[in-house]
Amino acid sequence: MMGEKYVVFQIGEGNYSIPLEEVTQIIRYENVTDVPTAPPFIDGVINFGGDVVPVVNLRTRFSLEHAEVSRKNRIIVVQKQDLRYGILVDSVREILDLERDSVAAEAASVFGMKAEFVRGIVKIRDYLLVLLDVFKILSTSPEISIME
Amino acid sequence: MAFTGLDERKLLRAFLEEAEELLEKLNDNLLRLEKDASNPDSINEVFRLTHSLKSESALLGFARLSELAHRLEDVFDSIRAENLTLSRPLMDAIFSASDLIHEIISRISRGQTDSEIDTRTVIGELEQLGGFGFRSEPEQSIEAATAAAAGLDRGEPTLKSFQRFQVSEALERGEKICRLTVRVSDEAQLKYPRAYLVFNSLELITNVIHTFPNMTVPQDDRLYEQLTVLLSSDLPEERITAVCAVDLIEEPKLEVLDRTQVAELLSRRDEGQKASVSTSRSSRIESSSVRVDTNKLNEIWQLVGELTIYKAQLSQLHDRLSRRRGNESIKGEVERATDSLERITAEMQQAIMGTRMVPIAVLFNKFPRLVRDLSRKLGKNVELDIQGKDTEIDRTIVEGLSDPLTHIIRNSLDHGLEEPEERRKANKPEVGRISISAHQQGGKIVIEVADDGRGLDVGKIRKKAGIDSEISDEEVAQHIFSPGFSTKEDVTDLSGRGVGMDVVATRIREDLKGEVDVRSESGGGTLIRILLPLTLTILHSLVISCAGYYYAVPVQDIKETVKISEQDVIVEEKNVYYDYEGQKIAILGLQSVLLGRADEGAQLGPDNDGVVVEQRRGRACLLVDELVEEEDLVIKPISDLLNHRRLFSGATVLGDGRIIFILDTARIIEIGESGGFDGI
Repeated sequence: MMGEKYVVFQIGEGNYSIPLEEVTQIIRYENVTDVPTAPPFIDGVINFGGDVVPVVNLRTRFSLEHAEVSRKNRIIVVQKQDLRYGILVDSVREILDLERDSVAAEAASVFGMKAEFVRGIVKIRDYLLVLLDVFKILSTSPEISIME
Repeated sequence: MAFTGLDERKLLRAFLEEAEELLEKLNDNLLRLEKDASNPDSINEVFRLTHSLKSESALLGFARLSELAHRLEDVFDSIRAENLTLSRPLMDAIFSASDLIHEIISRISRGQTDSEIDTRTVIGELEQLGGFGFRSEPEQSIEAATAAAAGLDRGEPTLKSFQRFQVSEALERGEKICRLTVRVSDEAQLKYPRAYLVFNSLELITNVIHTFPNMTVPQDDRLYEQLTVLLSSDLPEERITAVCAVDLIEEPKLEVLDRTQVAELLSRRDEGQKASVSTSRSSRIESSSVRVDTNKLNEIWQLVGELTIYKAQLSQLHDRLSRRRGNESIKGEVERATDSLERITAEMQQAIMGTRMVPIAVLFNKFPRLVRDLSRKLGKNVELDIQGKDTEIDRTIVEGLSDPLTHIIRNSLDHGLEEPEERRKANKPEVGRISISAHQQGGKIVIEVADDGRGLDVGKIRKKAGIDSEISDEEVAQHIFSPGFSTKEDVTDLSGRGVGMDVVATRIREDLKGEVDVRSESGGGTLIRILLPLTLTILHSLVISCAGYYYAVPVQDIKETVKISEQDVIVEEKNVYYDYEGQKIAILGLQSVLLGRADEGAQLGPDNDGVVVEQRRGRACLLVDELVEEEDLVIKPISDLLNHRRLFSGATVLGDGRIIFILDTARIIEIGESGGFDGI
C-alpha cells in the first residue's frame, strides 16, 4: 500500500501529526497581530500572502499551560476551501511516510483529547503519534472543549 | 456529440460565449422590430445573427439548433427581400423560436445535447407563417451552411475538418466532388445578386461544400466577378451546369476532381486556420471586448493585492537604507526604482479595478423582453423606459442584483399597474409606464424602478401590521420589506406589493450591502429605490484607533464625525445619549462594544472623537480614540473563528502590512440598541 506523508509536530509532551497535503506552508512565529475580540486560543492574525489568517494556539486550545514563544515555535498554515488557518505548534519534528494500515483503525481518546478529534494513533520507534483531524478542531465552536 | 478532447472543450466554450452574446443581440433586435417592423438595420442584423448561429452550431454538430437557426435565417432572408412582412403572429413565432434557442443553448452549457429538444412545432409554425415549405433534408442544408460559412478569402479552398469530413462522406456515398467556376459579366451592376442566383440553385440540387467568395455573408461586391463552388453530387454534369443558365453569368466551367486532386484537397491544412476563424468572427460580430472568467480576474486582483504589500515592504527597506551612511548612488537608484514600482502598482490596481466594472446594461437589457412577455400575458399595455445603461458597477453586484430587480419589475407589472379599463376610469393614459434608471451618486449606485400604477394602499398595510397613526405613511410603506409581511392571499387585497419583497430586501441588504426603500402615492404610482456600493471588494473607509488597535469604518455608513464634549451628552441611568440634530442617539464606547461589555457605558473624557454611523435600523455614535485617515481598502474575508460575534464584515491588509478589521456598523448599532447584551 502506498505511504502517505505526514508532518509531525510537538505540543507539550505530545507528538501530533496531520497529512502533508493539508499543509500550505510552515513558517516562523513572527508579526502576529493581536485581536482583542477573538477567543483566547487565537493568538492573533498574520498576513499570509495578502490574506488575513487567524493563528490558533493549539497549546491553549488543548488547555495546556501557557508557554513563552521560543525560536522553535512554528506556524503551520493549512487551507480548507477558501479559508486558511495558521496553527501554532511548539516545534515541527519531522516529515514521515506512514503506511495507512499501520495506523490504528479506531480513533480513541488519547492524551485526554476527545476521540472525535483523533483520526488515529501510530507507534513510531520510541514515541506515540496522534493523527489529528485539524479542520474539525478549527471548525469547533470556541466554547466547546477539545479535551475530555 | 461528446466533448472529450481539450480542443473540443475549448471550441465549445468559445461557442457558448459567443452564443450568449449573440442571443442578447438577437433579443434586442427582435424587440426593436416589434416596435418598428420595417427597420432595415434590425432585419439585416437578425439575418446576420441567425446565420452565424446556424453555421457555428453546425460546426459543433448541434443539428437541431442549426436547423432552427437556419429557418429563422430563411424567414429574415425573405423579409429582407420584401417577400414577407413581419406580421404579429409571425413575430410571436419568431419569439418562440428565439426562446427555444435560449433553452437549447442553456442545455448545451449544462453539458447536454440538443437532440432531445423538439424543434418541429416551432419550425412548422415558422414554415406556415413564412409561407414556404422548407426542404426536407435538414442535414444537407446545415452542411451547406457550414461550408459557406468557412468563407476563406482565397480561391483555393482550405477545408475545415467538418468540410473534409463532408468530402469523405460524399466519396463514400459514391458522389463526385466537383469544382464549378462561373464569371459574372461586367455588365451586371451588382454582381453579388447574380452570383447568389447560381449559388442558391446549386444549393437546391447539390451539396455545396465551400464557395469563394463567401456567399452567405455578402462581401465587397467587386469580389463576386468570379464564383468558385466546391460541391458534391451524383447528378450528371449537365444538370449541374444547367443552373448557370442565368442572364449575365458567363463561362461556366465544371471540373470533376480526380482522386489525386481530392487527396490534395483533403491534405491541405491551413496553419492559420484558427486565426482566420477568429478574424471572420470578429468581422461578423462587432465588439471590442472579450469575455473573461471572473475567477481569473479575482486571481489577478489577489496578486495585485499581494504586490502592494511587497511594494510597501520595499519602501520600508528603502527608508532604513537611506538612514545609513554611504552607498549614495545605490540609494538614489533604489529610490527611483521604488517610486516607479509604487506608481505602476497604483495604476495596475486602478486598471484591474476597471475590469471588474461592467455597464449595468448587461442587466437592464433583459428587461424589455421580460416586460413585453409579461404585459402581453397580463393584457396590459406598458411602455418601458430605461435610463443610465452605461452606469458601471461591479460584476459580482450585477450578478446578485439580477433576481431582486427582476422581481421588483414583475411586481410593478403584475400588481402595480392597473388594467387598461381601470386606468381609463382613473383618467390615466391607457398605456402604463415603467421606468428603470441607474446613476452614480457619490460612492454609490442608485437604481430606481418607478411605475405610474395604483400605488400602495398604506391604510391596509397599517391595519395589517397593526401600526398606530403616529407613524408616517412613508415609514409604514417600508413594511413591505419586512419578513413575512405579505402572503399570497393578500396580494390583490394590498395591491400586492409585498409578495417576496422581504426576500428582495434581504438579498439587497445582506448580500449586496445595499439599501432599498419605497415611496408611493395612492393612485400615483410606486417608486422603489435601491442604493448599492460601487463594488464589494474595495471599500472606502475611515481608519480609527481604539485602545491601541486600529479598525476601519466604511465611509458609506458614516453620517458625520463629531467632537463630543460633556454638554452634548444626555445621561439616562447607565446609558449615554448624544443629541444629534435633535435626535437622541446612543453613544457607544467602541472598545466596550467590541469586548462585549457595552453595558459598562461609555467613558467620556473632556474632548472626544465620535463617529455617527447610520443604517436603516438606526443611528449610533461610536466613541473612538482617534480618527486616523481615510483609505481605499481591499476587503478580505475572515474566518468565523475571528468573528464569532459578527462584529466585522472583513479585514484588510494595509500598505505597510498591518492588518485591521472592518466594522460591521449594522451589527454594532444592533448591539448598542440591545443595551450591549448580545448573548455572549
